[in-house]
Amino acid sequence: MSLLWKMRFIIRTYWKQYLFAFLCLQLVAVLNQLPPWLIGWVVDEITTDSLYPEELGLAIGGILVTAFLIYGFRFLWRSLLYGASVDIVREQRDQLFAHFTRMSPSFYQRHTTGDLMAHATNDLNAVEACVGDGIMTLVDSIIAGVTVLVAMVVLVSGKLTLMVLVPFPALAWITSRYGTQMHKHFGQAQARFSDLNEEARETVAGIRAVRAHQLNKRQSERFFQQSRRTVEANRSVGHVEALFMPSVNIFFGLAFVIALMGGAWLIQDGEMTIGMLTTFTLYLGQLLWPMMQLGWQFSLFQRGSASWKRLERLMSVTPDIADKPDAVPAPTRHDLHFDIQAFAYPEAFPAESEELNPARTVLENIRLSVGSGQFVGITGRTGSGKSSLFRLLLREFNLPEDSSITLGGNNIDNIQLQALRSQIAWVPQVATLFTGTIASNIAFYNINASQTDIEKAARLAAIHDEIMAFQDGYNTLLGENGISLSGGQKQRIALARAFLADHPILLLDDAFSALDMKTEATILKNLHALHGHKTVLLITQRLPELIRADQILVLEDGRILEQGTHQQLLEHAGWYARIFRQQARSLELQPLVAVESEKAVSPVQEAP
Amino acid sequence: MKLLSRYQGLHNLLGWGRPYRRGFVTAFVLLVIATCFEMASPWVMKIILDQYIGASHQDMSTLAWLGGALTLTYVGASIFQYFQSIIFNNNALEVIHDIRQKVFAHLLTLPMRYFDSEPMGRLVSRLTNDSEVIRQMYVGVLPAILRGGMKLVGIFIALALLDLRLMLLVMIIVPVLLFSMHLYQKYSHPVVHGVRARLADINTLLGESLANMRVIQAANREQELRGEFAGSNQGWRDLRRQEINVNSLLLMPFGNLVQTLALAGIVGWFGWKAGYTTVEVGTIYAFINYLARFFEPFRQIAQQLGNLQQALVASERVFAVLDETPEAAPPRRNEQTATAGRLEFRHVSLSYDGRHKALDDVSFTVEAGQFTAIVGHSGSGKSSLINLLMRFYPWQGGEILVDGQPLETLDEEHLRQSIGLVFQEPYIFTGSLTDNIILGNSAISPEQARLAAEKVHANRFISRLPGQFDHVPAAGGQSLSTGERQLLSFARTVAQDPRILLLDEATANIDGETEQAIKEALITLREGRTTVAIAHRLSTIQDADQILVMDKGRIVQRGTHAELINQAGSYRELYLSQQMEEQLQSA
Repeated sequence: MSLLWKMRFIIRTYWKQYLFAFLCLQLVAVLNQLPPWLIGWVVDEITTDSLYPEELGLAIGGILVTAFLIYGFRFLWRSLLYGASVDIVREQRDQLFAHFTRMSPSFYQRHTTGDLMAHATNDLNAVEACVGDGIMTLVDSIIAGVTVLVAMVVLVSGKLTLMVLVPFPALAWITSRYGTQMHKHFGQAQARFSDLNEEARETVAGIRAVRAHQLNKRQSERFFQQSRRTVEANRSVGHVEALFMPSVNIFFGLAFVIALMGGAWLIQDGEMTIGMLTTFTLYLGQLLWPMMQLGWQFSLFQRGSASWKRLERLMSVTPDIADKPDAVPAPTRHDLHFDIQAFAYPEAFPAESEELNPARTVLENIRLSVGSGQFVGITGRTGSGKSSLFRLLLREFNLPEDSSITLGGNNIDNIQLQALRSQIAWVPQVATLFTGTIASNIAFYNINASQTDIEKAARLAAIHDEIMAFQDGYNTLLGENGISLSGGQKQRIALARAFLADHPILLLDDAFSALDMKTEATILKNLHALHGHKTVLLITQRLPELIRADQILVLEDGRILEQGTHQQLLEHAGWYARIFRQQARSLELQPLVAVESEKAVSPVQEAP
Repeated sequence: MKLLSRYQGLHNLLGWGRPYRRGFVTAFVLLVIATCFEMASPWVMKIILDQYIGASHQDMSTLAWLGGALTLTYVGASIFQYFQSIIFNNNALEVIHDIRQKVFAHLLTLPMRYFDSEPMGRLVSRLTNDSEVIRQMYVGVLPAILRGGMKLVGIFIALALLDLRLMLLVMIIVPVLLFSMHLYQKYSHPVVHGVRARLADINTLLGESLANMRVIQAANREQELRGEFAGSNQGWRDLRRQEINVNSLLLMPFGNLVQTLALAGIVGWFGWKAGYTTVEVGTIYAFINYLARFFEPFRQIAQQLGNLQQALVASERVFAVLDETPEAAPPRRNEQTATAGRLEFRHVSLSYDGRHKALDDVSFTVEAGQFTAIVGHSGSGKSSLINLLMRFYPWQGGEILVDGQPLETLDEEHLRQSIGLVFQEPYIFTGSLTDNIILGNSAISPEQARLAAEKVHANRFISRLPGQFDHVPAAGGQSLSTGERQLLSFARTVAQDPRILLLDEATANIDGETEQAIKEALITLREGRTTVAIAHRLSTIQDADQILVMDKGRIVQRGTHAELINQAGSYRELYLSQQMEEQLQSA
C-alpha cells in the first residue's frame, strides 16, 4: 500500500481515468444488487400466488436492462483503469530508457546489460500489475464488499448479516496466509527450476567435455537429483494449492448454512420472507469474490513494492558526467593539450582487467600537445594506458582537479558534452554494429547523410567493393536476422562511419588490427590525405603505420616512455627503434602476410 | 489430418502416465465423489427451503438435521477435493520427472552432429521450458478440464432432475458461449501477437543500446534513440490497449452478461409456470444456484484448451528428441585399453556436410610416447583430427588405428580412458575443484587429485582461493582466469593418467606468472605419454618429434622444427610473423 503512496505523483496524472473507473465500479456494484432483489420479489409474489404478468414483465425487463448496463460499465472501467496502467508503464519505460542514455560508462560497468534488461521488463511488469490489477482489486473489494453489505442490511436483515459474517475473519486470514505461503513456495519452485535449467545447460553446452571425460553417468545422476528437487518443490506448491479452495469452501459453506438456519428462524418469527432469504443468499454469493481478492492483492503489492524500489534506486543514480552550468559551446580551434598528473579509475569499479583496477594509477605525468590537423601515433604494450587516454578525451570519466585536457584552449570539463562529442569521431578497438542496414550503420553519426556521401566514406574505408558484392548492397541487413561480417569488415564499417561523420578530431583505437597490410596501406594513404584538415590520434601496435606521424607517444605503465617524431625515436634507439626494426625486417621478408581474421567467414566452418 | 496427429500427440503424452495409472484412477474416483458432494449442496438447500421453511409444520430437529447435512456436503466436497488434488498432482509430477529423465538420458546418446545442428538454447529449453509446459498441462490443464467437465456434467444432471425442459432451454447458452470464444480467438490472436512482437522490438533495441551505450553517447545519438524507443513503446501501448478492450468485450464481462440474461430467462420461465401450476421456491433457488456454478468451469475449460494446444506443441518438441537415433552402439568387440599408445592415420578423409572436405587423405603415424604437433590456420583441419580421435564424428574414408586396432572397434569406455583431451577452453563443471579433477572417477582419491594439482603447479592458485580444493567456482568457472582453468584441466589429465594426450592449446592471452606455470606443466603433462598437440604458439613445440603443417584439410609439410624452419613454406612464414608479434607483446 505504501507503494501507492510512493507512486502518487505518477498516478496523479491519470486521476480522471482512475476516478471514472472507480465510479463505474461503484455503479456496477450497485446494479449488481438489483437482480437478486428482483428475484426475491418474484419469489415472494409466487409463494403468495399474487404474481401478475405485468409484475413479471417488469422484473424480467429490469434484470435485462441491468445486465446490459453492467456489461457496459464493466467494459468502461476496464478500459479506463487498465488503460491507465498501460500508459503509466509506457511512460516509466520511456523515462527509464532516457535515464539509461544519460548514464556514464562507470554505470555500465556496475550493472550488466542483463540486469538492466530485467529491470526494464520484469520490474515494470510488476509495477503494471500493481497500478492495474492491484488498484482494481483493492478498490473493488472495498466498493463491492461494502455495497453488498449495505444491500444485505438495508434490503434484507441486519441481524442475519451479522450472523453470516462470523466465518469471514477466518476466510480473510486463510486467503492472506495462502497468498504469502504461495509466494514463498512458488519462489522456491522457481529457484529449483532455474537450477535444473543450469544443470541441463551445463551438460548440453559442455557435451564434448562430457563425452571426452566420460561423464554421462555423473551428469545423468546430477540431473536426476535436480529434477527430483524440482518435483519436491512443486509438491509443496501443490499442497498449498490443494489446501486453498477446499478450506475457502468450508468457511464459505458455513456462511451459507448460517444464512439458511438463521433465515429459517427469522422467517418463523415473521421478520423475513422466503423471497428475502433468496435475495440474501444470492448477495452472500457476491461477497466471496471481494474477500478472496483482499488476500491476493497483498502479495501483488509486495512484489510491486520490491520492483518499484529497485527501479527507484536505478532512477536516482545521477550521471557522473554532466554539463557544468556555465558550459560553453564547442570551440572553433581544435588544438589539444593533455596535462595529466595522475589518473586512476573510480572506486566501486570491478577490476575485470588489470587496467581497470581502481587501486592502480593508469596514467601518470602525461603532457601532450597536438596542433590542429596533426597526425599523432600512440603505441605501447597492452595495458599501458593508451585507450584510457581516449576515454578521458571523450570525457567518459572526470579528471582529478590537478589534471586537465583542453580543446582549443577550453578545458573539456567546461565544454558542453554534446558539443565536445560532436567534435570527435571515435573508432573503438572492438567495432560495434547495430541492427539495421549497412548504410544506416555507416550513417550512424549523421542519419541524414546522402547515399553518395555514404559511398564516399565507404570508399575511403576501403569497404565499398565488398559491400557492393553483397546481394542487397548497402541495404544488406546486419544483426540478429541479418548477415554477420568478418572482424575486418566490421572494423572498416566503423572506419567509414567515422569518415562520414567528418568531425575535426579522429580517434582510432587500434582500428586496423584485423586488416591485412594492403588494405591497411590504402586506408593509411586516405588518412594522410586529410593531414592538416583533421586531427588524427592513432593507437596502434604496428609501428610502420607511424612513419609519417607528426609525433609519436610511447606509453609504458601509464607513463610516457618515449616521445618524438619517427626519426627522432629511431635516433633515440630505445623501445620504439627496437620494435620498429623487428617489424620492418619481417615486413621485408614477407610483404603481404595475410592476417587470419581478415579472411571472410566462409559458409562452411570447421566444426568447432 | 492435423487433428489426428494432435490427437496422437495427446495420446502419446497421456501414455507416459500409464505407470501411475492407479494413482490417477484413485484421484478420478475421489473427484467423482467430491463433485457429488458439491452438487448435493444446492439440492439440500432446496429441501430446506421447500420442506422446512416453506412447509407449515416446522420442528427444530429436522432443521438441525438438514443443517448438518448441508454442512456435510461442504466438508465432504472439500476433503475429497483436497485429497484428489494432492494425489493427482504428485502423480503428475512423477510423470514429468520420468519424461525429463528419459529425454536427458536419450540426449546423451545422440551423435555430436545433433548437437551441432541444434542451437544450445533450444536443446536446453526442450529439457526444461518445454517439459515445464507439459508439467503445467499435467498439473493444471488436465485437472481443470476433468474437474470442470465433471462439474458441468453434474450441473446438467441436477438441472435435468429439477426441470428437464428448462434444462434443455438453458442449453442454448452453450453455443452462445462457444461462439463468443470463437470471436475472442479471432480478434485477440493478431493483437496478442502484435503486443509480443512490439515487446520483442523494444527488448532488442534496449539490449543493443545498453551494451553499446559508450558508442551511442560518443556519437550524440541519444536523442534519436530515445525517439525510436518511444515509437516502439507507443506502438506497444496502442496494441496493449486494444488487447484490453477485446478482453473486456469478450471475456469476463461477456460471461457475466450471459449469466444475468439466463437469470432473467429462469425468472420468466418460473413466473410463467406459476400462472398455471405450483412452483416450489426451492426449485427456483436451486436452479439459479446451479446455473451460477456453470460459468466458472466453462471459462476455465475454455482457457485451458488454449494451454492444451501449447502443451501439445511443446510435447512434440520434447518427444522429437526421443525420435532421434542414437549413435551406433559401441561394439564390445575390443575390451582392451591402449597400452602402448601408438596412433596411425591411413588415408583418412572427413566431411561434415557431405560436400566440403574437412580432412583430405590424411596419413601420419605417432609412435608410442612421441610428441606430434599440428599447426595451421583456423579451418585447416587441425581440430578435425582431434574430433576423430575422440570419435565425436564418423569419418568417410581411410583407417584410424590405435595400437594397431581400428578405432571404431574400441569399447567406448576404454577408449575414453586411454585418451585424455585437454580443451582449448577447458570446461569447468559445477562442483568443487576436487570434483573437477576427479570427474566422477572412483579410482581417484582426493589425495591423488591434490598431488596431480601439485604436479602441474595448480596448487599455487588453488591455495589462494577460499576453501582451497573445496572451493566451488562460479557457474562455468567464470571466477577463474583462463590460465587457472587451463591448469585445472591439466591436473585433471594428470589424475586420470591416460596413455594418449590430445592437447588443444589455448590461444587467449594469459598473465605472465600463470603462463610460466603452464609452460612448465605442459612438459610434465607430456611425460611418458603419446601426445598430439594443436599448437598456436610455435615456441612451445620446438622440441616436437614431428610437426604436421595443415592447410585445407591436407598435410602440406611435415618434419621437425629445425627441418621446417629451413624450408621455404607456410611454417616459416608463420614462425616469423609470430616472432614479430611476440616480441611486440613482450618487449
